Amino acid sequence: MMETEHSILIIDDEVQIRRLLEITLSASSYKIFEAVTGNEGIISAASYSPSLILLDLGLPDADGAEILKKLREWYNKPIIILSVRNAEDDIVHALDNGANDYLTKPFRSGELLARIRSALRLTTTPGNESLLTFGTLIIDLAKHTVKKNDETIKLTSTEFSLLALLAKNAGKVLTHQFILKEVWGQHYIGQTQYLRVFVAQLRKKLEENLTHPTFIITESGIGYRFGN
Amino acid sequence: MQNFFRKGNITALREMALRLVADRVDKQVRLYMQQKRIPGPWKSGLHLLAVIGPSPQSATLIRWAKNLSYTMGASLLTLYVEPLAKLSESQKDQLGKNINLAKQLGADYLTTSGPDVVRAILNVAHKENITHIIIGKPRQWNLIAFLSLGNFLNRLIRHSGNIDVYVLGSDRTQRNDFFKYISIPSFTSHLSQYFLSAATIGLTAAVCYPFAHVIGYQVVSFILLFVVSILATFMGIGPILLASTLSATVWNYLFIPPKFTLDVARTEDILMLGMFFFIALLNGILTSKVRRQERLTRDREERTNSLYRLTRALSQASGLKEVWEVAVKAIKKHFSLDTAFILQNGNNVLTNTLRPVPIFDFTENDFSVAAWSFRHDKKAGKFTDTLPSSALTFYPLPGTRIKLGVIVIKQSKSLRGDEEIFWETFLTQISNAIERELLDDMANKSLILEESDKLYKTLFNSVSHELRIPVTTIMGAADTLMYSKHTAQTQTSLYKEIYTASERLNRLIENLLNISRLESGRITPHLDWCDVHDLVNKVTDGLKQELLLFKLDVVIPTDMPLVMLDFGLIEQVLHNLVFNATQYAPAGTVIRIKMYYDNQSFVLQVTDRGTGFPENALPFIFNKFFRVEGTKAGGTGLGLSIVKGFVEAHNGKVKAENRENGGARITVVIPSPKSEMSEITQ
Repeated sequence: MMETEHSILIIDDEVQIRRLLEITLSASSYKIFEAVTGNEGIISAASYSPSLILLDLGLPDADGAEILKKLREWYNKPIIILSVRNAEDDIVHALDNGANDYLTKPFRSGELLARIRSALRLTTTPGNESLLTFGTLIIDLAKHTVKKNDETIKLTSTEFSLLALLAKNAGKVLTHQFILKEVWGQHYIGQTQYLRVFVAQLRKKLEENLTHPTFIITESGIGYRFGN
Repeated sequence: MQNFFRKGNITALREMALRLVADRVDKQVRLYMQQKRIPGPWKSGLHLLAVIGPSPQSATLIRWAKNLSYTMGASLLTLYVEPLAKLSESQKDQLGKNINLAKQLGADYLTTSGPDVVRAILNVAHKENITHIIIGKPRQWNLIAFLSLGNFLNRLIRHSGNIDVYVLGSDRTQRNDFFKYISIPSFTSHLSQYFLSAATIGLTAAVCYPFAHVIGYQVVSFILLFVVSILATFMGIGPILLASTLSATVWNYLFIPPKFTLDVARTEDILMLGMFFFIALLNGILTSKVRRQERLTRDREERTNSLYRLTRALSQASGLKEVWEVAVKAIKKHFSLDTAFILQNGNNVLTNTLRPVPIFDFTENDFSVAAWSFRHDKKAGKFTDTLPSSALTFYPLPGTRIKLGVIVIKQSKSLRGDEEIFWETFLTQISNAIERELLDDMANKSLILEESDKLYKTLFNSVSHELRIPVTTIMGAADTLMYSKHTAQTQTSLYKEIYTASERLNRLIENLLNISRLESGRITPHLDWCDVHDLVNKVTDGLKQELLLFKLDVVIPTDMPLVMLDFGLIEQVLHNLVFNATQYAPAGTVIRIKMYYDNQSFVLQVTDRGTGFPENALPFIFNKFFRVEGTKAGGTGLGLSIVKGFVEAHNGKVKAENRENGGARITVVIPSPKSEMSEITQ
């Protein structure tokens, strides 16, 4: 089902997690490399140049955040962070430092595969398309129009910028601060109430069921993700 | 060993043993006497009473009495009778030394006072069941003693009844000091008093002079006597002597004929003058004696009062901190001394912290002195025999059951005899209070230990069960899948079982992690603006499977503002509440999540149509590991205690109640500002 074979580097010190990931990902026809420590991971990343890296934040030899920083000096393909719950600060920090996405342990295999697919797709399809389609929702980035079920939805310019930012990164989690900076500007970092209000407004205009939003999904304590 | 059991040793051992027994029985007898208020003495044992005073001779007396008590196998009590006259500095010093010597030799010590020394001594002797009184030959001959005492020893012996009295001869070599001990009235009154008394006499004489021929010069003598008596009530002995002499002279010079000479013409006038002088003098002296006695009584009363106040304040103080503060204040007030405490840490080792405030420059050396004092239970430091080079003085705090620590004082001159006695009484009171608090603390600590032990056991019982069940399921299902062939349907259901079991495990781990976060007190909410719809969405999404069987009703007003919350924590709160509802309400019923903003607070309610809580369980449902009896298996009793902990971390409140028509309602109220949404959109 994959046109080109993608390779994935797993950097995790737990042998059982590595084995599980290897079985799961091999079954989905990914080529797997494994590294036990952070430094070994950096070397493997340099020698195999994998299409994606799964990086555990709790490594024995070095802080995961440090490894991420070192990798990001030259590695520009997706990195997905594996972390434990209640570590929102670490996750946000990693995302702001160039990680593409995150998963908290324990995670479902289906979830993992979906994240990997969306991260790989985002890199293979750079955002130069002007028409984004998500089921019944069509966003025209060039004309600044949004249509749902062929009906045009009126959005303010801020609402449109927010929607466009999220949609262009569909499937990827964006942190609050990143969105605030991109849509409102540097001075608005920390002003999460703007984000909350506009997300609520967007949802009212886009979502079918407000209690189960499918387009703009909240990531507790971290940010938002556009569903696809 | 062979040589040890010689006749001599055995005899000595036997004597020691018998003496110990005697001691013990003796204590019981005295206790019995006290309880039954039986006046002494019972000749049930030998009790010596050594009467001591502020002279070096008393030291000899104490040693001698100690030797005697040892040979007789008797207990020794030393007694000091406070005199009416003020003690000189050197006498105070000597008294202090004597008292210390008595204590060092292991004698008990008492102090008493009274106008009649004999009666005071005998009072104590009867109360303490004394059998022998040891006393030195009195040497302090002063005028009053001479006038009032008669024969001190004779009286003592006459009134002592069946108590033996030993009189110790004084040392010949100290005879030379005889005159030193003649008590001279102190002429320390202020100069103004002399002036005032002279002026008063002069004025009285001047006023009387014009009327002398009317009232007669004898009457003038009465007026003068009257004035001298009045002066005596508020003046020292010096001014009184002056007033007496002056008034006699003036009377003689101005009133007794022939006037303006010191000659006295008539014989009866000579007699009158003599009597006048003598009465004036005696009057003055006796009055001032009464005043001294009164002053002493007042001093004692003041001490008793301040001791009473201290005791009362200490008994009201709760917690070590308050006890220190009360003690430091009282000592400052009464002794004008700065104090601090160093207490032991509960393992009989002195801490190195000064309480309540480190007011002194405290060096490593000072701590070693403190440690020495603590270890040996003796005072040390300045003005003591041990390490006097230290700038501070350390007194051990005498505890009855445990050693408490030491008290540190900074004194510029050492405490004198009676002051030190009073100081030690003070210390005893303070020590009692500290001991009470310290023991309380220790008891609390052991209670906490016990609690944590209980917690550990509960945790172990409850968690081990909760862990085993899913693990057993997973192992069993995986085993079945590995080693036998099954239909696709069986396989799927086994996989589902594995998944459900791991979810249960995961939930347990989450709960345990959360409770340990709460226990460690490391929960600080990261407050941020939240859209409460997000909360509901996340939680209902996470509990999709569980909620399938129920009708979910979400009630949120359309103008619901954003609220300040830690999203993660409140998500967990809502999750636990909704999850509980799905566990205890019958399938098909309504579970309602209601949220609104009211009275500066975010209110969250979860209601169900289950059985509700048993009334008697309501006060406990938020306790850790508490489970309502008879509820279905599964669950650790952690969910609601986590809810409470997280809500309280937000300074919020949580309340559980039963609904009128059945079911439970949990209400969470969290104080929060609300955002002005309209302002932002414009």
